[in-house]
Amino acid sequence: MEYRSILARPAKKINWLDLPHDLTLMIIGKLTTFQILTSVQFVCRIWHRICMDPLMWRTINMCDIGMRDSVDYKLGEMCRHAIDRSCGLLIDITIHSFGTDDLLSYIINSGCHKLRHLRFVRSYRISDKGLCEMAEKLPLLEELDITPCPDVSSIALEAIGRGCPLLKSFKFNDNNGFVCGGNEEAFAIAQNMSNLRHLQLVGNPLDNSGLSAILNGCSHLESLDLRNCYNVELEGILRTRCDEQLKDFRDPDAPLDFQFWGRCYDTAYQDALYEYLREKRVKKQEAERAEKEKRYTEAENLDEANWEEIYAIWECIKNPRLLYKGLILGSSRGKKNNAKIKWKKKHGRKKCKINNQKSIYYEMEDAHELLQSNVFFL
Amino acid sequence: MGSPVKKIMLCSSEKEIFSVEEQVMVQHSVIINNMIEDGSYNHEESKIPLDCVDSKTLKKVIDYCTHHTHHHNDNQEDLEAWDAQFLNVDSNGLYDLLMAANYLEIRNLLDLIYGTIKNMIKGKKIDEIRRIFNIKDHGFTPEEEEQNRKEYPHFY
Repeated sequence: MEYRSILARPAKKINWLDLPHDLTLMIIGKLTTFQILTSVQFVCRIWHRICMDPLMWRTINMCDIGMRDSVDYKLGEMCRHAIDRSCGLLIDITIHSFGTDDLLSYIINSGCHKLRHLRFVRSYRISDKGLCEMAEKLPLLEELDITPCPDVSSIALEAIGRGCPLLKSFKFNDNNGFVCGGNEEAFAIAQNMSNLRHLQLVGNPLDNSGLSAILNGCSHLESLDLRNCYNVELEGILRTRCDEQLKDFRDPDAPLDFQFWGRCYDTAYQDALYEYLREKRVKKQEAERAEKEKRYTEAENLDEANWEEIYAIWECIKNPRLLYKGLILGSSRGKKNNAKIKWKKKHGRKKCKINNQKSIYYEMEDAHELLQSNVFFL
Repeated sequence: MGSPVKKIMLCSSEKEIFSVEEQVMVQHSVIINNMIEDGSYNHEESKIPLDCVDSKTLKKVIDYCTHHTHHHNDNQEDLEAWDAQFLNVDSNGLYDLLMAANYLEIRNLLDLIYGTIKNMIKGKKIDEIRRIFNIKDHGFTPEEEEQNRKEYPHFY
């Protein structure tokens, strides 16, 4: 028996296409959108068919993308493509660092009215305009995360409160608040989001009156996170109210955990991103320099060709018999033409290359601009 | 005198019999839990036949369940390190484990395997993924494959 069992398992490799269909579905369902779009869907036809199924696209997860990939790929377009594939079945979407008002309006206008969970992490280019438009179109929204989002004010919060009555979880962190200050946001939340269960307001400028408004307005609130809200002074009645009403309460002095910091202000990530962009620019400059040198040497070659011709003519003058034969001149003219064609070809191709580089440059500029705006708001 | 630990018998595809604490398997495997609960398992004479699980894989699965039953109070890092060590197998072994975990419905182990597969795919080119999972017949027509390669050369 032992002997047979050893024989029965030769060193043959198992083909994973034999895996039961539901298991393959589960495996692919666990992958990130980026993985599916860049590689997994092209692995084989069976996987491709699974990846084309709108049901696979109810969840779009565009985070956890390596820093280099996030610069090299057009994530916005990729995300739009994924949204198209969901055919309006989208329920849950997470976008990391490239969210814009345009992308938001694309999500809304592609018929994803069933969306329940929307997370825009580190998307600095979301503003009131995009969010107000969103609030009108997504009545089923239950979870919204806009962290951190400096361009969003109480106007958007009011619109969200009115348009999304089912909203249960709201994360609205580090809203650049100490510059503007005030309780407007807290009041907007208290007056318009009465169904909230979980609220995270790290680094918000609200003070005690804002907090008591929230406690009054959101009676179902179970968890509240007020870390880094230094205008709140928890004493006496307010303190006991917080402790009694909330199951999970984090007061302003509670330390920010690494997880939160990592999500919002990963300076190592920013540094690496800068480094990579710089590296890319240097590479591009080197390529341009090489291109220039090439052009220069080509021009020199051309000169040589001309010299050859002149030399040939000189030869002819010295020895007229050669002219009649047309041997030397003919060959040199041929050479010259060849050189011309070559030069044209190379030059033409170079133009193409330069155009390509330009587009890369614009992309990079875009990334750079984004980065700078990030840094500004930090 | 404490009551003796209840054991159940599991029988692999090679007809090898493994004796395991009942509580260990009941806690992790939905199928075995159901069997014990509805009384279809007789402690005196029954053994549970697992025809699609070979001895080597079954031993690993039992290892997993035992460890996670007895060490579930350990700190998270130790457990994760143990899991990583546990799943340090080739793709054949992973396939067998996946099938076994699916058959016995061990949810934690399934999630662990899915996570491992996700990490295996992460950052890999298409050809590498095909090699890892031994997919020889990808089923694309040569034209489609050619077109994919042309359109997305950096993915291959």
